[in-house]
Amino acid sequence: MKQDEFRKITKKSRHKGYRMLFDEYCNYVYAIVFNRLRSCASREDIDECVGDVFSDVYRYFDSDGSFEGDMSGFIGTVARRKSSYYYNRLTSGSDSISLDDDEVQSVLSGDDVENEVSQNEFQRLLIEKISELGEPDYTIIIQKYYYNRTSSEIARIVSMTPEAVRMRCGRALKKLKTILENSGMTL
Amino acid sequence: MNKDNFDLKSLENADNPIVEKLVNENMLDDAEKDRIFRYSMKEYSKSGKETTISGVETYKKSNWRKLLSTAAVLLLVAGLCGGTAVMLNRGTPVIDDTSEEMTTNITTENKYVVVTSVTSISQTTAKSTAAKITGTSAKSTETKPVSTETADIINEADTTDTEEQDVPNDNIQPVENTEKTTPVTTIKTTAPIRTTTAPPPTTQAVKAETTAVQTTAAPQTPEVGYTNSYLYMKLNSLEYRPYSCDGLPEYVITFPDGTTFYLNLSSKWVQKGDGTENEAVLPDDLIDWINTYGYPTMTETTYMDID
Repeated sequence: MKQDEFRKITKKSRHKGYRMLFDEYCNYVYAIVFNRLRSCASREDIDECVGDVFSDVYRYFDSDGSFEGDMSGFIGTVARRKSSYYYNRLTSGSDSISLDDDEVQSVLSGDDVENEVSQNEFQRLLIEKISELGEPDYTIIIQKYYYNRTSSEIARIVSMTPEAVRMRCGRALKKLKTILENSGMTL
Repeated sequence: MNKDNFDLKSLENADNPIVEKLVNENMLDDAEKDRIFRYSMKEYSKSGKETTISGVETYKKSNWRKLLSTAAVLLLVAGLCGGTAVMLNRGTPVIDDTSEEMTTNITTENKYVVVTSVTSISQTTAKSTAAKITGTSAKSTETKPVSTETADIINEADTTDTEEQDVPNDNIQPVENTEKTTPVTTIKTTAPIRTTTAPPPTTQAVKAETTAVQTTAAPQTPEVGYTNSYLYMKLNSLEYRPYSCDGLPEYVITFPDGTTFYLNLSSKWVQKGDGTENEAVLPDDLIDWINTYGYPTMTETTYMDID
């Protein structure tokens, strides 16, 4: 969706424009937020964060804000910042350690730029190997082992029965393990 | 790596190209989309209100404490005023009538003494302290603060009292003092009986500190009407017999209904004036009462020497 197109629609009906924007980018925003909050937030927290991302986007356009480029980049940026804010809020508390404490030396991460680059490369290769499974096995594996959805939920997404999803999931997992072993990759 | 332990956790915090590959168009169903959209619109609609601050809330001091304090003060003042009024209007205490015998015990402690002077008397010239007086007519009773002069009188009374114990006199009966009392009564004889006219008896009972006056069968300060009624009742209740005693009556009492009594306090008898000349013995308590309180309608009989 282009920015001009969105503004034309919102001039006629703001609610309709916001709804179209939401339908266009909700999966994208959800993926970004889930990717950031997967390890620390519940599904309700993730849904709330997605809602806050879109409310911020509405507020920005409501204040006649404008920017150059595609809207997906802007919305993606808002989603990342908002998810980071949620991540910091959810992980703050007993798990946080002050930088002034002596214990901070023992919990320093060993990651560096080199490790991050290798991590990104590993992720790219992993996605590539999972993609070799083809549809609907790719979607089943991602929804099952990344989004942690149930077989019934996956069955609705891929338009299959839950039993068929469970059967194909088992077969796809064996096939993925073989691919990863042949590629020398371990999870 | 079994089926249960398999996890794509390594895909977390991925870059945007990888995240885009994780997006599925059917990832969220319609119900979940609607719920998230409603939440986003709700947050959007109330976002502008959160930062709006307007108006100044005026501080209101609670008045209930002030009202409560005022009510408490008023209640306290009302209680004090009411209590004071009740105490002031309580009146004189009622003296118990516990003894059948009419006695007058006058006790003092340093501050007050009671001086009784008798201006008309029969045959005795006794000076007694704290004495039950019979055969005399008490004319006045006064209560005075103790002074040096009074102390002298008291000393004199003590001495006189001691001396007169040797003199037999049936008309004077010493009073038994059960408490520590100071002799306070002096009796003066000023005139023989036939030449003295008794002035109207006056009684002044003065309430003194730590002074107790005990009387029986009559109030301490009776009014005139009550005195007559009491005296009338007592005199009528006596047992009259048709005999005649020696001597002449000393006093005459005429009550409002015309009933007349002739009294002789010295010989302790009373005679009805109804023509029957019946006589009765005057009890000592009634004599004491008469001597103590007097009687307005009572007149002393006078006898003129023929010579």
